[in-house]
Order: sequence, then C-alpha cells, then structure tokens
Amino acid sequence: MQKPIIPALEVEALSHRFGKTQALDNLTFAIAPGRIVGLLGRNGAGKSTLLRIVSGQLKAKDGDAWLFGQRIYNNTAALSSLCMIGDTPDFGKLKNVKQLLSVCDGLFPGWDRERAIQLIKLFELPITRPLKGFSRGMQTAVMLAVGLASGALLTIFDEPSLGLDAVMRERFYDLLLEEKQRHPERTFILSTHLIDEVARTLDGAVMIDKGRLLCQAELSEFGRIYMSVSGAPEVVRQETDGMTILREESIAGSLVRHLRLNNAREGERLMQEGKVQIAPMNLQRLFVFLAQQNSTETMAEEVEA
Amino acid sequence: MENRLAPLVENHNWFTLSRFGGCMRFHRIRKYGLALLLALLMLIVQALELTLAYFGITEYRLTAQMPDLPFALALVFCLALRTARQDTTFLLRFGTPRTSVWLSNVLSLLMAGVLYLLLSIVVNVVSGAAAVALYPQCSDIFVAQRYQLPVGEFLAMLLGDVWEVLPWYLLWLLEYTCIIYLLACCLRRWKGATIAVLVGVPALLITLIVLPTLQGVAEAVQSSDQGELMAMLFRFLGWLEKAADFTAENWQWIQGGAAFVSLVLSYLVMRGTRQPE
Repeated sequence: MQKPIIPALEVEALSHRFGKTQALDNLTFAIAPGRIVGLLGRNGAGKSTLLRIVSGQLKAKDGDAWLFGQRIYNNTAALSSLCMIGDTPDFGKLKNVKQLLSVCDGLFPGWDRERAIQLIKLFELPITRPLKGFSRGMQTAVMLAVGLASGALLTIFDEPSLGLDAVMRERFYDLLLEEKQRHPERTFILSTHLIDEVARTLDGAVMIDKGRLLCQAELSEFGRIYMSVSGAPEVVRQETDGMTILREESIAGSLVRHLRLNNAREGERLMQEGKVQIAPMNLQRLFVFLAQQNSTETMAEEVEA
Repeated sequence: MENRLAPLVENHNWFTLSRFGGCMRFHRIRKYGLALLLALLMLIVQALELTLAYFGITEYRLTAQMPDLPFALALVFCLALRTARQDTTFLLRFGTPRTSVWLSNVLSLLMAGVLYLLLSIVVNVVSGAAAVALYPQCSDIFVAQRYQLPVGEFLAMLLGDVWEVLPWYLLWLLEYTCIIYLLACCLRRWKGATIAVLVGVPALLITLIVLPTLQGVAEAVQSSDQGELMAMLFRFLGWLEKAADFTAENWQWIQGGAAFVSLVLSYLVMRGTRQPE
C-alpha cells in the first residue's frame, strides 16, 4: 500500500482583508505534490494575495498555510522548497542575465546551472546584454527560465505569459511539461486568468473568485463531473432532472444544458442510453459559469446583508 | 506520511536552505562595486592634489592619514536606503526567509563599510608615501614636518597610527551601521513619521529645555534682578555641564546600547513591513 503524501501546498480557512476589500475569504484547499496545477481566477480574484501569503511575503490575517506540512511565514525549511516567479519581472537592478544566474545559484538549493544556461539559449536571450534593454517579453522569459531551472520542489508562476509572444508561450509550456517529466517530484502552480492557454499543461485546477474557492479538482475529474448535455429540449430536461444546472442555452431548436453531475455514474448512464449528446465542459466555460454563479450568490448575500 | 521536503532539509545545511549564500552574493554584486568606486574616486582626488602640488600650482598638506570613517558612514547610509527598499524587495519576491534577508542586509552593509575603510587606508598610505617620496624635489610646496622622514619610516609610523585606531573605527562602524540600517528601515516603512521624529524630537527638546530657560532669563532681565539672573544662568550652565560630562563619560555605552537596540528593532521593523508594496 502506498504511503499517504503530505500536500505540497495546503491552505485552511485563509482570509485576508485590505481595508474594506476582502481579498481572501475562508479559502481552503490542498495541492498534492508532483502536479501542474492552475490557479485560475479573474483579475482581482485574490490570486496574487494568495501567492504572496504562500511565498511568505505576506502574513495571513486569518487561517493558515503550509508548504509540505510546514508553516510558511519566515520558516526557512518551508521556504527552501519554494521558488516564486511574480507577475512583474524584478531583477534587483542586476546588470545582466549572467549576474542574475549567479545570484540564483546561491538562492535555490536545487539550482541547475547547466539547465539554466540551456533554457536561456532556448528562449534566445543574450546572457551579457544589459537587462535594462530587454523587452517585457524577454524579461518575462528570463524569469521563467529561472523558475524552471530553480529545481524548487514547488515553483509558482504568477501570470507566466505576460508579454510573451505566441511562439515563446508555446515554448514555455513545452519546457514546463519537459521539466515535469525530468523531475516528477516537482510541483508547479500556474496562476493565470488565461485559462484556455494553460489548460493543456494542467493536471488539476483550483478556481477562485472574489477570494472564495469556486472548485478544485483534477482535470480528468472535471471532465467526468462537468458536462454539456444537448438534444431535444424535452428529452434533455427529462434526462438531466435533479442535476445542478450551471447554464441553459437554446441553439437551433435544441437545448444545451451545462451542468454538474452528482456523480460520474450519471454521465456513464447518459452516454449508454444515447438519448442526448454529452461532452465534457471546456475549462474556460466552466470557470465563467462558476464565476457568474458566485457573483449572483455574492450579490444576493449583499442584498440580504 | 511521506514528506518530499524531508530529503531537501536533511541534505542541506542552514546556510543553503535559508538562501543566505545567495543573498550575500547578490549584495556583493550590488554593493561592493560602489565601495571600490568611492575608493577609486578618493585615489584620483589624491593623485590630482599631488600632481597640482608637484607642478607648484597648490600646496599639499598631508592630512587624511586615518581611515576615512565619515565617508564610510555616508556610503553605508546611501547603501542602507537602497538595501531597505529595492534589495530587500528583490530577495523577498523569490520567497526568501526574512531572517536571512535581514541578516545579509546588515552584514553586507557592514562589509561594504569595512571594505571602503580598508581601501581608504591603502589610498592614504599610497598618497602619503608618494608625497614623502616627492618632498626632496619640491619641499617648498609640501607643508608638513612628516615629509622629512624617509619613506620607510613614514610608512611604519602611518601604519602604527592606523593600527592603533582601526579596531575602534571598526567598532564604531558596526555600531553606526546598526543605527543607520534601522533608520533606513523606518524610512522605508514610515517615511513621513520618521522624518517627523528626526526633526520633531530635537525641536521638542529645544522647546522643553531651552525656551523655558530663555523665558526665565527674559523675565529676570525685565525684573532687573541681577542676582537672580546670574543664579539662573549658573544653574543652567551647571546642568548643561553635568549632562555633557555624563554623555562624554558614558558615550561608548550609549552608542553601544543604541546600536544593539537598533539592531533588534531593525529586524522587527523589516519583518513587519509589507514587501513588495
């Protein structure tokens, strides 16, 4: 029997407020090690606040967070496992890539110098040219190379594709998957609002909105639970009765219901009976539906309050 | 339960895990260059002075033989402002523990100060030796008895002087570095309030001590009571003397105590600062 594994990241009842803004609201989830997980949310959903707490830059006001079972804030052991690549490239006024790589060599216990140089070449970055003259895309690429070569057990990329052109983005996602294959023990968190773009690389996703958890699951699980069911309106209504409907649409005389099944067996049943067409829901659409549902609920709560 | 962090923690020491080595490497790249540049600037100024003296344009006075503490402190202050802001933010962004960032900040500031202090000795020794060597050729423009010594004897005397004061200078540099770093951390966290305190506290002292005394003197002058006026003046002078004596006698302890308190406070201030903003 396999030993249970301590999560790479675990947050419990995490809340944080900036003045009147509730950035995080009782957030609880856990991420297993060795996965590529998307932290998905709209702008202002609380992703960056969460990441700042997770990377020890900010102390949570309520709740707690653990990296590999260790409390995070100012904990040397926990933070040694982490590499955080923020959404704004910051080189600490270092002159060139060479200097940055030299500093990173001392910052990350698992730093792979050769891999770093290889990645810099793959991203077509000049190693001795002043960083000041780099375009935004090039600056982002430098930080992505640092994150990939850091060897950190948990590497977080906040909005990794900001400023990158289409070719570089694809190259980054390919390199991420390659890195994951080379080091299966590493965990990656990609925080982004560009869901479709990262979907192909993800093993799982955590969706948050307005500081709350919308849902968390493995990608395969999402495909089994969240479905789009279409067909003759009467049949669709009959077959999906009792399921949680996220959105209903009428397209060319047929009814499409985007819904959450109560269990995976319901999906199997629908498929076997063949009365309706069913398809797993696209991750981005699912996120939009859940976010809209959350907005409606929040507004209702506010009206009540 | 299997914990994938365990091998990492078991196989590395605190130095590696805390990223202290990387922090110090970052500071070395960022800071020591400025100390070298300042020393080079000092050397150029000295060389220029010597050249001008050699060609009879100005006189050359052999004055700066001691380690250059004031400039070292000015350098530490400039670097501390940058360290408390940009450098700390850079290191924390990667998820570096605050303890190692703080420790590396203080140590790197001290080391930059020490480096400049030692370089200033080298510059002074070199320029002093050059002046002594040039003295026989143009003695009318070099103003000091010391030039008449042979170079070897002069250097021995100079190094003897430096050796005597260097431990004290290093101690003062350490103490002032702690105080300056606290100041930089406070300026980073509460800029307005820190400036207000820096200006306000001396102003408050003047208001509470000097102004009532002056008021009393003015009243005594108005009442034309010469005896009372003199007594008041003596009382005030006596009090000032006592305060000055106490400060002079205990200055080392006051400075040391302030440095220790500053060191502790700087950690607390830096630890509680929201970074990056």
